[in-house]
Amino acid sequence: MTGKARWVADFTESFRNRRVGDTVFDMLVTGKTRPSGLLLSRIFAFFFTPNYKVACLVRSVTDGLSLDRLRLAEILRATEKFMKRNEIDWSWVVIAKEGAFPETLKNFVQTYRTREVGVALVDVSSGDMTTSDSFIGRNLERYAKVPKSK
Amino acid sequence: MDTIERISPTNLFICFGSTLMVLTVVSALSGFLALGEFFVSMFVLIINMIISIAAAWPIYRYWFHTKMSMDDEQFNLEVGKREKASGRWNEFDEVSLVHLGRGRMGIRLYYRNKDDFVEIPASDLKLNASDLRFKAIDLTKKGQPPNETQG
Repeated sequence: MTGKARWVADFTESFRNRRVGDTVFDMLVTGKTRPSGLLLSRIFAFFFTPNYKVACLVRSVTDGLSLDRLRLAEILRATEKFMKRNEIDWSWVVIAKEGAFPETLKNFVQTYRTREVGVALVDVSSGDMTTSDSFIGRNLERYAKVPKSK
Repeated sequence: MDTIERISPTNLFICFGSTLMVLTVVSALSGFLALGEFFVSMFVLIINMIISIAAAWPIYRYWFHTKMSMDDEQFNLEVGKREKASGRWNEFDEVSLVHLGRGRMGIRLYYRNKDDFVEIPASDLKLNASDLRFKAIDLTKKGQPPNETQG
């Protein structure tokens, strides 16, 4: 993995090529927003940090895979079902691609309203990121710094 | 079957330290009951340390000592004398890498037909958890129907 990021949650479990519905995510990590640690930080976290179960699902789009508005909607529906089944409170769905995403897809993401799911379309060649308008979607821009591919 | 068995100095030290702490508290309480004050003499402390050194090994063997045997078909895992797990690789369909706390890493194997998993503490066996994860993915894949993806 390359690039920089900010602390978001304690991700403790990681899957590779994990199938969620019809989609195989290249990476799926799960964790909690409450950090563990030694005695004092544990006590502090217990009182001041909410204990949400979170997941981050990452899918890269290659040339052979077509991704349109309907396909993305299916992916997000499958993610919501996955969250319900696994009692996950927040999820970030990151779709990465070398090259720009179509405007229709960007518009779809910008108007996606589910509060518990943050969606980001990442163009790794230019570093551009389009996020959904929910709180956690907007925060993705602050959390993740996208490395530009060389 | 290959057997992997490693002694964990950290866990051994935890067993020694815990035993010494318990013995010291018991000695101090005994001193309080007998003499009316909390007092542990150097002689008692040395005796406690000798007992702790002798007791640490069996306690470690019972609670922590991890042993794993595996081949391409199956594995057996023993965590001390209290936890035993065994299975065939093709009984599992998902493999994940997990952080077990205190810097320990392991892998989790999810059963194909039931909502349960087996955890292999790779760090306790001095194995590279990432390598073990990819090996487990390959081994579990062998027993799966084609086109089924896991990770």
